[in-house]
Amino acid sequence: MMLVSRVLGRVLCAASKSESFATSAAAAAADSARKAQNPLEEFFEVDRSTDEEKPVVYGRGWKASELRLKSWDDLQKLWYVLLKEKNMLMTQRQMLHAQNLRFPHPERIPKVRKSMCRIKHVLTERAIADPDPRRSAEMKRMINAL
Amino acid sequence: MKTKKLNGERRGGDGEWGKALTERDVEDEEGIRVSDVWRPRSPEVRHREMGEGGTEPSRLGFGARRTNASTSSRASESEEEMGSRLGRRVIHFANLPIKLLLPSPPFDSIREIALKTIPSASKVEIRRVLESLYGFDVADVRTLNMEGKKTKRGPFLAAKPDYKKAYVTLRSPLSLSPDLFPVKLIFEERERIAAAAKAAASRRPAVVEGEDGRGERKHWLDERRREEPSGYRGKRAAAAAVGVRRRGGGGRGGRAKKGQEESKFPWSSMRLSESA
Repeated sequence: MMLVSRVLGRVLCAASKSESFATSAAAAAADSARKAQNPLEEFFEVDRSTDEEKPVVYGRGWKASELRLKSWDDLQKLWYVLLKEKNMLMTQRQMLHAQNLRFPHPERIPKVRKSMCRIKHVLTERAIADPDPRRSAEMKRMINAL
Repeated sequence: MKTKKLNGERRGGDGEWGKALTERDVEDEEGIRVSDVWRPRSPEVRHREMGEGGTEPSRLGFGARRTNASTSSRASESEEEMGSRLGRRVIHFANLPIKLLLPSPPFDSIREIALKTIPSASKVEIRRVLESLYGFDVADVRTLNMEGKKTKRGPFLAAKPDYKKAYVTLRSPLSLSPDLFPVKLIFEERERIAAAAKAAASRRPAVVEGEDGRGERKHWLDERRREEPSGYRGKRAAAAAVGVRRRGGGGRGGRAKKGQEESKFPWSSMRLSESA
């Protein structure tokens, strides 16, 4: 969960919201520079070429209290980051199981999935708490559209 | 026409959720008319990564469903808020699980990719997600639905989930470096399997002994093939003969062959030779 642990580190270090905006913007700009190379590589895990030499440490999922500090845009960006992470993990699991190998750390997928659930939960909380019914209906539609 | 009331008092002021949400709040007493509005922006752009936008948070890709306050026109803002009323559906939180299958070995020019998704994903949706989220340039998407494998354990049926396979043709070939994590392991495993299979295949003739103690490969039809001509003649003779003579008409070869086959398959009540 490299991306999430990095994002997590940023969140935990940066207390204020404005700081997190700037850091997320910078990180995303860096991401876009790297992304120009190969979209196929987004289905594979970064920085994990040598395995079993040192135990890889993964961060935890996002908490709802942390997510409530974020803005709508931040949460939307985080949603897509988590979606790509989940796709990458599922790709890895499928490839390893196809060769009857063991998929290490399978608990990462539920962490990502529950973080995505918490994002939608936080956004729905905001939509419900909104005084204007029209806007809240619009927000709910935006959140739940498939 | 009444002018649109942009919530100026809330812009930038409501710091709880950041600027993004407040600037989206547009209220128009008259309501929105679809004919007023045409925005060339497609849903892809709306959830493209923010690297394409400016550095300001308000111009970021995800949030660029509404442009900067200075340049937004009333029509565009209204259209963004009531995006669901228009023909183009905007999806803000796409949730398509995509599993990439490993491409075939020459990794230099990959033109076709195979994916697995949920059966309810359409070609159009897959294409949009790949183009906007991942940045593939997709020429063609072909899909097919597959059933998951089912196994029975006694009275219980265990089924793996059904999935949809998608073959995506790219416009320009891509490459994949084998240094990425699971790729190397998979190749090692495949090579191991291939080596084991080859070793087993090469070992087999030496290990197997013939039933008569001979070391060559034996086939149960060997004697039968050798006896074929006589058996054929025997059958012809038996067909010509009536009833009783059929047994005797088999000829010595047929009887001997039958005896051999009976010794090999004593439990079988089948008549294994043609002459019987």
